[in-house]
Amino acid sequence: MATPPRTQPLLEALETHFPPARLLRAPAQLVPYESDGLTAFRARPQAVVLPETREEVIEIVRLCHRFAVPFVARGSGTSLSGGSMPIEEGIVIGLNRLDRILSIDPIDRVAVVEPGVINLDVSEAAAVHGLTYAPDPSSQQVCTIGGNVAFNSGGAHCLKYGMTANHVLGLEAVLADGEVVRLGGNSLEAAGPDLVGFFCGHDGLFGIVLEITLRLIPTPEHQQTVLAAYRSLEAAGHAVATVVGSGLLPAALEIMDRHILRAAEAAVGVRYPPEAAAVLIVELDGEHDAVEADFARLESLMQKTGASSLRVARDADERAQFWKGRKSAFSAVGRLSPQYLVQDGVVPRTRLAETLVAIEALSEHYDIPVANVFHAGDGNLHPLILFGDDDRLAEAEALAAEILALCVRLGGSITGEHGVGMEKRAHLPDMFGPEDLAMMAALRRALDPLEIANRGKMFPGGEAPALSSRGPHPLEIAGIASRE
Amino acid sequence: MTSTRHEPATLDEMAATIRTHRAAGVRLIGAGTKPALVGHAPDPSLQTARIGEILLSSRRLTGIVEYEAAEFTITARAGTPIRALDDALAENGQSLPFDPPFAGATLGGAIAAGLAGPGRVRFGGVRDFVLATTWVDGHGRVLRSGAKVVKNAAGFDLPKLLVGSLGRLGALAEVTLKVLPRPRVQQSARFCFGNFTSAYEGLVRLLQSPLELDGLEMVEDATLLVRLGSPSHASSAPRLARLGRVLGIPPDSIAADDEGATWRAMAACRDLQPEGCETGALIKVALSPRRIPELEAILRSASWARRYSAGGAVAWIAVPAAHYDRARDDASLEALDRHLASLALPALVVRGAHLGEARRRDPRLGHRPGDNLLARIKRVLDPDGVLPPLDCSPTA
Ligand SMILES: Cc1cc2nc3c(=O)[nH]c(=O)nc-3n(C[C@H](O)[C@H](O)[C@H](O)COP(=O)(O)OP(=O)(O)OC[C@H]3O[C@@H](n4cnc5c(N)ncnc54)[C@H](O)[C@@H]3O)c2cc1C
Repeated sequence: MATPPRTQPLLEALETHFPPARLLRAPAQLVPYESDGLTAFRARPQAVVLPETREEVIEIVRLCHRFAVPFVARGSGTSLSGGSMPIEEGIVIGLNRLDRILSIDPIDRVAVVEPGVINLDVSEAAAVHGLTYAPDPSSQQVCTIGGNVAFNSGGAHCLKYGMTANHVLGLEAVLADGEVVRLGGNSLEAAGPDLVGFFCGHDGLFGIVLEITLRLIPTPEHQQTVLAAYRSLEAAGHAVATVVGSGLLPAALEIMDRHILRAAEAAVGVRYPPEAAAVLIVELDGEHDAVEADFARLESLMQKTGASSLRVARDADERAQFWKGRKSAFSAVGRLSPQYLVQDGVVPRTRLAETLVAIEALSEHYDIPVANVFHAGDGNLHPLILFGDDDRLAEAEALAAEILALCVRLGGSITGEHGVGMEKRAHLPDMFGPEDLAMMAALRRALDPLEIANRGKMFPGGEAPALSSRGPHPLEIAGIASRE
Repeated sequence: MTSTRHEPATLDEMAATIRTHRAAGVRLIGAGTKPALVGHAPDPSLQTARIGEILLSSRRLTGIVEYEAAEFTITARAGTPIRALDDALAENGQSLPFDPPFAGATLGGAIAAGLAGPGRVRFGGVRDFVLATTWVDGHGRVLRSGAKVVKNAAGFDLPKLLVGSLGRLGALAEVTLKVLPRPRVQQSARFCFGNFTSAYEGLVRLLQSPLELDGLEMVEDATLLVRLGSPSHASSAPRLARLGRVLGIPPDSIAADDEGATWRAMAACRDLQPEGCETGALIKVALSPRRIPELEAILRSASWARRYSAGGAVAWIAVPAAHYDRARDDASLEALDRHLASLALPALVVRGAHLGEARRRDPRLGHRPGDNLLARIKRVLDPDGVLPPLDCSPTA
């Protein structure tokens, strides 16, 4: 960087705006911000500032730009890719206090929210209007809409409803050099380039999102959920291709393998067929009559996939049971191995079965168990590499890298929803050529000339060490959420 | 002042054309069905192209590159006609979910125009289905953005940025789309309300209900046109009856033989601009249901043909060529521009013969959210203005 960071004058300027309770400097105050969902790695920032209004955020960003000091925006810090990990010579801008739902419009079916609003709170506030916010990351009880926008986060029901970007209609942001932009609006359509879509999934590199207009959908009136057991993971993978290929549009289509099943049984007391090497959860939702008609088709289709057993949820309680095992899967895995890496690659759905076979072979080769629980309908894998103890971290990382390489080789992606962050920066060139990377870097500099917004993330190189995700997140230990 | 037309047959030729003609400037055209977007008047005498400017057509860059039906993704070259793409998909019981309105358009043109048809009410617009693009920017660089799978969070989302980019940010060479099953059975009905307010209330009621509709158009004579689709052969009759109960009036069913044609005509805006009478301008307004009454009041007083499409996400307006000028001030295109700006509604002139110079430069009307961001992006992708400009104000 041409301009060296002038941290001391920045902190002095911030002191004139913020009381000590909102400008954290003491080491003990900084500890909770040292890492995110990528728990094994830490960095202590110079300070954490806690704005309460959009004007304050804009002022902080302008000061950071003036003094050339890098900043990291932070929602709830649940990023699994190190996206919200601090930068040592910079500051963290904590956005949790911008947590107001500004308005809900049942006619336009939109909610306007501040970036620190918790994902699940949007659906709860919209429920009185019979509306809901569709993207449902497993961290939805804690993660913020600002973080979701930065990563274009997904969830189990994104198979039918789409990712975060498909539900963001408008936003206001302050670019890293202090200019404010307002994009989109209440319309589902635009006239001109899709700037809102471009801004989603920016990995925190463009600036800070101040206000988001979210699309709400009518709450589906009916669901049918079926749990199918298979004698091999490969057979379950083939069943996914069959369901996807049938033309039915399930709301969710998820796989759990035997590691996950046994762990979930032990952890939350759900029971799965003992012979099952893998289980598929398929859920249809929507209009009552349409769901019933589709469900009849789904049942006969599933019978032909060689399932060893099929169970249909009889009522809401049983449906909740099916999902309980799924949602608690990650925390349950902590029982098998306290140390694990989570990957997030994507493969074409028709290649799922062979991918799972290849991952099993890699697991045998490295002699490290790999558990699978993931968004099968989208081909979005979440292999959990259960490497047991620290001496095997290097091997586990090598195994993880082979899985990512496999995803790219099959025409997929290194990340479906967790973002590149810090963890996968070295792999970005596996997907994009030098000119593509140069073009993206130039776009970033056009919005952030000093490269102060989340410096060191997403792009390869940079100052930070290579990182990996290990062990359960504090939230998982507390039983609040699970990684998926 | 005629310009030369280039029709590259390969990606490399396309990039080379842009590099070679940087000084002259390059306008991108697909099949030329939406001249207003290109900024190129079909009548050569009216052409505003700079001397020696190149018209770069993707017409010969055609063909499906990859299509695995079971994957529900398709990759095709930008010059592939939408009609050809749709035929290939239909063979496998699939279709383009955003329901591109002009079947004569090319794939590249459809993406760069960012236009969706009535079917967008069910599954979403162009932005929701573009997964990956191969394209050439104003530097003449060949770029590959996105990933050819249905989910990807790696790198900035350039494929979305190119949706609606109007040939101003880069030339599309290849596009990967997510596709969906074509509904096996579709059934439609009209609900005639007799007055605008009741029809509008009906529209809002349907949008708030959990009913999943394949089409919901509000046509001028206070009528809602509703479409139901199903992947199974199950009859839609009970669902139609339910619609009637929600709306409080009985459905007037459309005969199965007329069903498809009715919706194709809607998609192509034949109700607003009959075939062969495409004089005047066709305008798309990006709308939301709450704003319909305000816009309707303005359009009614100007007595322009209009339709509220895709559940109120879009208004289509036909402005007769006679109304372009300032003679009848309240009904001119300039007046519409001002009204839309004051309502903060973005709009686009999609088709239009004999438009003035300014409109051909930048076909957008009304509100232009994010132009300060767009100006920065344009400076990165096309700093020398090789591609046509966008009248976005430079950074304040
Ligand atoms: C137990 C667990 C389960 C999870 N399950 C899922 C899942 O199912 N699907 C999924 O997709 N992800 C999942 N995640 C990952 C994570 O929850 C998501 O990435 C989430 O979107 C992050 O939100 P956050 O508020 O914690 O953001 P943070 O971690 O604080 O930040 C994430 C990124 O966003 C940036 N950022 C935050 N706020 C803003 C803003 N206002 N403007 C600009 N940039 C901003 C940060 O700089 C950072 O780069 C899970 C994580 C955990 C720990």
